[in-house]
Amino acid sequence: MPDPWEPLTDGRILGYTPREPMDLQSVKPEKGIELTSLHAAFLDDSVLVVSDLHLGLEAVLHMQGVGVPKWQRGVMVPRLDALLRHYNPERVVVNGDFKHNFSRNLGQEWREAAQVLRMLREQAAVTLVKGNHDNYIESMAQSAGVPVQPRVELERFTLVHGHEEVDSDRRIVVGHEHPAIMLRDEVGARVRMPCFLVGPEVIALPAFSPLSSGTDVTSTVTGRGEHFTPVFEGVDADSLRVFAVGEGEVLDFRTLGELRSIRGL
Amino acid sequence: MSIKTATQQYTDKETFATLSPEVRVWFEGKFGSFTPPQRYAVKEIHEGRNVLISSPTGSGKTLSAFLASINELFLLAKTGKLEDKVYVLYVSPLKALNNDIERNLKEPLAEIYAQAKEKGLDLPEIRVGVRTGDTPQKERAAQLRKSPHILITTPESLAINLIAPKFSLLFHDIRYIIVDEIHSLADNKRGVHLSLTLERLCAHIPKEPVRVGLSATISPMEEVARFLVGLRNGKERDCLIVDVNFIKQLDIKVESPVKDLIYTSTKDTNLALYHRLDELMDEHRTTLVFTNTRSATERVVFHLKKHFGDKYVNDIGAHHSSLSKEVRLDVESKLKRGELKCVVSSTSLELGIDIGYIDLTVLLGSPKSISRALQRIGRSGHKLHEQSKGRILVLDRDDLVECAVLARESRKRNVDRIHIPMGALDVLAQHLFGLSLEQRWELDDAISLVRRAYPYKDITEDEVVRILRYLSGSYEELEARKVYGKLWFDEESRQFGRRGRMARAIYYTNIGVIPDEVAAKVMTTSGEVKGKLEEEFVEQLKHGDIFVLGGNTYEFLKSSQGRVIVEPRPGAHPTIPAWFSEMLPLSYDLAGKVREFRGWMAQRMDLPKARALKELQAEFDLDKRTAEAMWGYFDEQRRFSLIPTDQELLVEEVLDEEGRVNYVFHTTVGRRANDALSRAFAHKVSKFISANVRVTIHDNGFVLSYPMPPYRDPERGKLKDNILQDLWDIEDLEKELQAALHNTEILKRRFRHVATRSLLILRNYLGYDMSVGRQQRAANILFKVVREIDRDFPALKETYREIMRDAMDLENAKHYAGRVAAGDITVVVTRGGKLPSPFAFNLVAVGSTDVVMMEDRKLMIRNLHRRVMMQLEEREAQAGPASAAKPSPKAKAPRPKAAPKPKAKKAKPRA
Repeated sequence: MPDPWEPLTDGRILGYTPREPMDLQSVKPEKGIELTSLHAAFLDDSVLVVSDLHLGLEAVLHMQGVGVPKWQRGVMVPRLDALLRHYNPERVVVNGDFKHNFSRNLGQEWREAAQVLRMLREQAAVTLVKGNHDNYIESMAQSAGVPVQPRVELERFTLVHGHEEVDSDRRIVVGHEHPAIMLRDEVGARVRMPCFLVGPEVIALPAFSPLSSGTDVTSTVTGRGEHFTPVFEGVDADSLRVFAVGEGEVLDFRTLGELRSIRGL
Repeated sequence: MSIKTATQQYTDKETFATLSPEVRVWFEGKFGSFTPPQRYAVKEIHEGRNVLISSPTGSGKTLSAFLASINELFLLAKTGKLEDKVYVLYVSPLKALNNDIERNLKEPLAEIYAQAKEKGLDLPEIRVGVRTGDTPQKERAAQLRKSPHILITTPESLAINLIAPKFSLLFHDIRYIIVDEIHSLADNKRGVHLSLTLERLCAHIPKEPVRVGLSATISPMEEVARFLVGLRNGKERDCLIVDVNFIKQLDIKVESPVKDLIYTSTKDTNLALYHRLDELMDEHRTTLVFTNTRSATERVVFHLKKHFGDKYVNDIGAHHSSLSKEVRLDVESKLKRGELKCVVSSTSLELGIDIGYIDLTVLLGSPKSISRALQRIGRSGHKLHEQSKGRILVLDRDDLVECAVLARESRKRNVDRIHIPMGALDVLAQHLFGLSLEQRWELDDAISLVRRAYPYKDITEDEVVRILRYLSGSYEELEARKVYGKLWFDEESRQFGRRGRMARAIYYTNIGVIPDEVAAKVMTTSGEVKGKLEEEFVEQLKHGDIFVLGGNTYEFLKSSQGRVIVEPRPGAHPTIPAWFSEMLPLSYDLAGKVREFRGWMAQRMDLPKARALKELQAEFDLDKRTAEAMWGYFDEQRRFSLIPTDQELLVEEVLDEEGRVNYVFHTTVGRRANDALSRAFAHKVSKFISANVRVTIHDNGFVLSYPMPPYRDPERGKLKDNILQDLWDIEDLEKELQAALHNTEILKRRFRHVATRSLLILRNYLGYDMSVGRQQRAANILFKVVREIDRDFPALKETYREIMRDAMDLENAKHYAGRVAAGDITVVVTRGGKLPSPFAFNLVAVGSTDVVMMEDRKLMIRNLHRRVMMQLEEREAQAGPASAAKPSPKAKAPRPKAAPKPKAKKAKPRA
């Protein structure tokens, strides 16, 4: 059994230790909802939810002619490990887009993804929610002993990736959009931070992938308009609470409407 | 001999003696005698010496370069030794120039042959062929069957043909290599690329070919000569420099279109400008007008037609690189036929395309460098004995100062120095890849070949090895290497070579140095085009943002379908940094002359006005009105503050209305050096005050701005004299600048350019073009990753080098800073002003801006968070308790309470 911590072949990259602080910081906007600086949510004190890992993104870029060294996995595995140690969850839900798009002949990508799943499974019950990038994922998940489902129902929450319309009378937790806010200071410096969006009907998680730059949800002029995933249609976007993650901290930025109303931000 | 300036002008007799009788008879019959560059160069080239020729338009430059080789080809034909291969290679940066040259060669060849035939000599034809990206497949195939003896090509096509399996075999006996317009190549990566292409080419040719370079006025000639000829066995190859620019008479004058450049409105100044332009056009047959930007070119044509509609309907044309090839060709041929009264251009007509008779060049605004001024003005007066006539119409007061100095230095031909990019790793990567396609290489042989190119004379083995490592995919695990590696590299046996069947196709479709760009057109609501913006920048704009473009400020209204709609907002304070600039940068050398002039003028300001004006007019050949405008500008500055000179550097502390602290540095060193200085300083200051610092960058100086820190004692938020002095310590300038570039847009954008040149991002792969947007997204990901895994990754290192040394001017920034640190220049600080002094008006208003972020990102984010919270709380307090629950007019619902509503959520079915 290969040790997921062992660099695969090339020590220079896979043995890389991320420089970011591994200390985990979190806020609890409500009882039973904990949002962490490691881009994960901990629900009902028992379920750890992460979204949009996009494993294998580098390999897809390779196929398009981009020579990017493999890197994400070496960052995400330590983060997942830190989360597991901290929360000791009963259950882990990967809320869609566990992988990017693997080309079929890249067996190594599959093997690595299966390794990550096994590592999670050793410490908790794991469920994969199927996202729009998760084609052909079933056999790999099966070999790792992990079920793949279109959605996961908890007592108060429906966990679903968010790329399709959803019918539910519970609070919906989605990924998919990679929400982020872009802020400016007095001299025009721009800072982009991934964020959680928390509303009475829907909660959106930031992407777990360290390579996602995120979709700016503060912008109203450009971008894709008010409603980004179909799940948000009919939701008053301005009333969503914003919890941004930056440099190992989760910061409460009140509501999206308030953020958008600050001129020059 | 190495690099030497020619001192011997050969007599006609001596030069004729080098030619075979038929060529001699033809030349004598057609031209009578030789022109100066021909007297210097023809015999030397004939004897096999490398020559760099710089001579004015109309001085027979092309024949100086070609005559010796035409003669040799003729001799070969005569003795039946002319084979099917390339003997003469001509490379020019412009495709348009290639067609001119082809015509200019075919004509003399035809004439020589006709004369020979009369004498009963029937010789095999000397073929001239053009091969560029535009050459049809059919013609390429024909060239392979019957090789041209003289091949005309571009640097890019040459690099591709080097690995063409059959065609490259025709190159192995090339005897002459002629590089035209070398001044437009030497200072950029196109030229760097060519320098390596030439060495790769010459490595296949047993007898070293003779190299001939043709150049406009440029300095230092010795550097350009080295660039042309390169090195052999670690020693510079020989080269003779022929500089005969002095034979052309120059008539340059600067004019202010209005008497008072201070209080005359922009509208009236423009009106006066167009009237003066009209007068000048009336007095001359054909006028060539140069602006500094493409959008300005359009504007001038528009206004000329508007104001003098009946006069110039069809006989005025625009020529710039954004126009289609057809439009440009049409304008060029009309010019040649003498059908145009006037043509307005930006940079596209600077190079030597044949444009026929021009008797006046008008420059609208400063051309920012003396060599550019000479090139532009040199386009007029086509015949050798005619003088080149140039009029510079200035647009504002800084322009006036700059142009007056520039005109004087142009008359003295004090040409500013160029900068040759050294050791560019991205261009090297392309050539290492190219080498691997030719054969299996011993590492040491490849390195010694690379070092023959002047820009790579000091390249280290480590630098080459690191490039080979990533090109071979050794950053990847073995399995992925097969997918991505572009060559194989065995570090133990120190060899590398070709890998994979795709390699050649990747080379063909990805070689070149000019990055792809997508630009959105910027227009006013009334449809007037104001310039272009990159998509990336546009995406970040929010409604109401104010930014600087091409020296003007605009408010962003909206964007759609590649168009950006703006409202001009002259004088408004930019809200968003615009780090790019369409404007040409002032050269460091000319900037130095401006500083000296300010000192000269400061002394004259103590004289009675009449005398000062007289001296000013005499020294700078100005009319009275223009001299008055100049005097007025300096008088205003003197009364408000003091005149910064080459001995005294004025630094103004200005506390503006918005509560910001600004330091205006009157360092007139040109934008490239100011860019480097300001960012390095801003980084130091950001550490001192724990805040992000905005830089405003201009040719005449820069500004550092930051919000007043919330100290109880405001003095603590200001920079003391000793700090303002310590900034000039040059030891850490480079380190500070590099740190300041972290996280800037310019870094991301340049990284994309470098990554595509480095073949880390293929613009074309497996037959698909990658869009610029995707290239940038891929670059952003690549950037994140390589920065984390290897700070010395070649593409990253090259990005910093390119920004600091090519885009910016770190060398001269250090030079100037060194003078301040050494006390050669005194820093004079004025404090507490509410407004900057007149010399800083333009600087503050139209400088390009960027932000240098503090290094402590955690603190920065906390500051930002606190600021947002404070603003929201302030607003709530103002709105009063009644409306506190409604935080924003847009938020329709109050903030959600802890418990969610157990309401059914149903997404609307989509139509």
